[in-house]
Amino acid sequence: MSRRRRVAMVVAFLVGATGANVVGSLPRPSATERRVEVDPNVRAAAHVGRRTRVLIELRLRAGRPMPEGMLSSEFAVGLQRGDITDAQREVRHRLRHHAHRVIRAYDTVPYLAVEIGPEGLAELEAAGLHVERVMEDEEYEPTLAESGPLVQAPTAWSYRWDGTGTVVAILDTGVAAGHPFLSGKVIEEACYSGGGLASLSVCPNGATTQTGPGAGAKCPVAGCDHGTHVAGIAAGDGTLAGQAFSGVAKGARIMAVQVFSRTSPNAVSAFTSDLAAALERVYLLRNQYTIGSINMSLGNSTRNTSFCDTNVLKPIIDNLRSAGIATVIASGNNGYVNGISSPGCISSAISVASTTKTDQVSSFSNVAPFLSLFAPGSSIRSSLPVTTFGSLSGTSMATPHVAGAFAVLRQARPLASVTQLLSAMQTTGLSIPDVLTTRPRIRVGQALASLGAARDVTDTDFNGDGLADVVIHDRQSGDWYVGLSTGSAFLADRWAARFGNRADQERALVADFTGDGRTDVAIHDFRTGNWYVGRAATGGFAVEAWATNFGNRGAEREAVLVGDFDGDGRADVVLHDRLTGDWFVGRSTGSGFAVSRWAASFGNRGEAFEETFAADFTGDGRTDVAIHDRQTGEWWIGRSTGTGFTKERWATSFGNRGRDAEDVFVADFNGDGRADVAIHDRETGAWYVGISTGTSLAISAWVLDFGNRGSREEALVGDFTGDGRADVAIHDRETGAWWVGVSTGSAFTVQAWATSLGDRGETERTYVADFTGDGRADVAIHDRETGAWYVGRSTGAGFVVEPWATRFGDRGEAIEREFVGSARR
Amino acid sequence: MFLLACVRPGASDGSAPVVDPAVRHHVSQGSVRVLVELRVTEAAQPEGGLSAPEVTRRRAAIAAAQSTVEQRLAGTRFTVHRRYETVPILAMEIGADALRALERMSDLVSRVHEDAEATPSPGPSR
Repeated sequence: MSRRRRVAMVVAFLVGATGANVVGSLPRPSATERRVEVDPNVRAAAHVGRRTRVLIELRLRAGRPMPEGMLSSEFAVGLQRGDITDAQREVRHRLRHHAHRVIRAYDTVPYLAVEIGPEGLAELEAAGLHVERVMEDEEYEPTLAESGPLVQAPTAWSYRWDGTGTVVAILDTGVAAGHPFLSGKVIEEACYSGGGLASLSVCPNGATTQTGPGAGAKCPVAGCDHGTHVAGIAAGDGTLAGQAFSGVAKGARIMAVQVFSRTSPNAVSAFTSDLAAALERVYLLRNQYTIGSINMSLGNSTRNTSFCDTNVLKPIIDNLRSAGIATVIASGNNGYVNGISSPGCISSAISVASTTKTDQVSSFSNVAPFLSLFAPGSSIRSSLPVTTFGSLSGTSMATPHVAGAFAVLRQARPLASVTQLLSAMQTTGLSIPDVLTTRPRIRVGQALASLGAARDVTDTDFNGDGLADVVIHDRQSGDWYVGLSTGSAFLADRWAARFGNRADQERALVADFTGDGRTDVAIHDFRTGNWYVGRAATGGFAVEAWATNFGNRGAEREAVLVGDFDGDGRADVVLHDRLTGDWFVGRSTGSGFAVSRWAASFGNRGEAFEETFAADFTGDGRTDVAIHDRQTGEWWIGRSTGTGFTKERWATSFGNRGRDAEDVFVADFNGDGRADVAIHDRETGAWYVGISTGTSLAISAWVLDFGNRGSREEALVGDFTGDGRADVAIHDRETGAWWVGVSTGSAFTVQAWATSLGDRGETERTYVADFTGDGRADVAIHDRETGAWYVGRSTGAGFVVEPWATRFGDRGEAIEREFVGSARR
Repeated sequence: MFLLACVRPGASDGSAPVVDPAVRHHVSQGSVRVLVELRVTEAAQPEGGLSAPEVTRRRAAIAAAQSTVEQRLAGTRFTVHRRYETVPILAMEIGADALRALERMSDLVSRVHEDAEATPSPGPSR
């Protein structure tokens, strides 16, 4: 039986069965009136078996609803609302046997927002007595300003990774290099076009091949705006054009390669032979530029249900991939649920399908189980020739989001293979279900975190060069001395004087409050609630007043945590009142703290029982807070929404042996971009890790006898191998021996890493940070008596000990305090 | 003659070159744009996995194979559109006689692809 006939029969049955119940009170609807109007886009989605979001307009018993203001009384309003509720209940009842999800029910208007599949739609069409219309839950158009944050581009920028130093090759219809969004970015050009049957060259010189300035110009045919739009998504820079949005790799430059030929008066096509020539051109320039990726927003309409590795382009894409260059290709726009067009189907290419702003598969997008990645591609606003902006939809628009992401990741990890970068994006992506498969939608920030390239706003990098520095604050004089890392030494210099010299009523904090990639310092007077920030400039801190009356109840009662709670790349501060459980967040505006209450009655048992942490447990780029009850072992997460904390219990009985018996660490132990928790039992040496699932901690033992010698040993956490997963280290302070428990993602493998690095006990302090900027955490030993600094440079399999400074901080703990690296512990 | 002597054709399995059906269809109506995939087994893997001397040898073998094919096609209807330096491919426009000649070169030619067209991939506008 066809689907249409079956639906018709159901309609007939329902009219007969249920009509009698309502006919008495309502005019009997005619057959025409009972027909349910269905939006063509909804029907198209159902036709290919996709679930889709719809708005159902309900038919009320009393007829068309009246605007509430026109109803005569509150009673009448109540009756109409009751009708609406009844109709919603009826429809939900009808859908109970079909996969569906109610997204919203409305009190005052006869609508229901639901996600349904084909069977659900058929049921709605059969429910003619209750359903007037089924409309598409239409989205408003996202711009790069929305799709960029969706793929976490601003998070990547806040880590200082924006593709700077890399080049994205755009193989397309040419690029309008003079567009303000792309100004100065096009640094290499070529054109491969025409030269055969029914094919005319559109290269500016009329030849089949042109290289050099001007060669990659926009072609002079309809449809040639495409390349400029694509280039903007990958690498456009809004600051150049006075726009609030930018492309994903806004710091990258562009190689514009025009590959299309005029195949009819008003149409262009790209021949495979020209694509091969363009790809080879990029490959041959690989030593001249750091090519982050190649973007190919093109394809034919073939439906390939598996890899198409006899494609003639595969050998050259293999060459490119072997040289670390990702060839990123659109999956095509035929709406296939099990097929990708050519050449995106080549196994060594990166295929990209399109999603909407609400993370649904775009109705036009091709998808297949062997698809590499999803990215936003519905109605993306980007640059158009000559100087304007406009929206286009397609897998063409999704592809440059991924090409830009590869450029960003390439900048962060110059030596990683394409497979490693792709894997980072696939394992950290948001799962997008489609009819036959679930594939990941990119999240660049989390991909960087999984590669160990995330920058914590509490890292200490005062000149923004990617190498961790140290700072020493003299609490008597208010002097600040910064030791800038050169990669092999600390160069110490005084950066401020008389800034924070009342140790008994002030606390100092260190973080990037301005979001410029350079670490700033802050002084909080916890009696007055005044805040002063020392903004990092070249060689010094410029002191500014940032807030008043923010935290004036004393250091005992109020805890201060630092993090990027709203995910804008600037460090914010949160004050937690341990007595009331209130949380007040001071969001950095770049020149002050905007204070508001984010939670109440969350953690009010005092310091003796509860400890607080700040980390991104959910992996959304916003710092969350956590309360750990050391008596019960409960973990409560305050999930940041960007404007508040939502309280959720994530674990019970995880770490309930007290401060003396257990260490607690918060770090990303499995490299998925979400902060996890590790508990180290100092008596037994057991390590238990609670891996964040995004909604809870999944707890398991990772190693059972690692660090059980009591106070002579200290435990530290850092990504010593640079694989994106946090490792743990045990340092024997008497012998100077180091062992590292290398994370495998589900266990720690213990290895000996050093002897005789820090063996002077309490005289020395130990710090973990990436002082050499190679992506691997190193360790530093600071002798507080002599002021000597030694760095254990991580090789990935051991620490190489080097002296880095002398007489830098030798006045003791009572006077001086040093700040190094992340404040995660 | 010298070039011919230098060429070391790929280890042919004796099978005739595979010709895409679209090529056969179009050539019956005149000439057709094709990409001829050559058998070059010299260091046959992506260049990133090869040493510099191996890359040099492979590229020389590719160039020699391309030249040999062109020489063997002499007297047939063909035009070379593009040669490639790093991959064993020749972009040509050929007639039926050239296709027959290519099909006889099982020692040098593994496949004759259609020089297929692709279009930009924007979806339907909203």
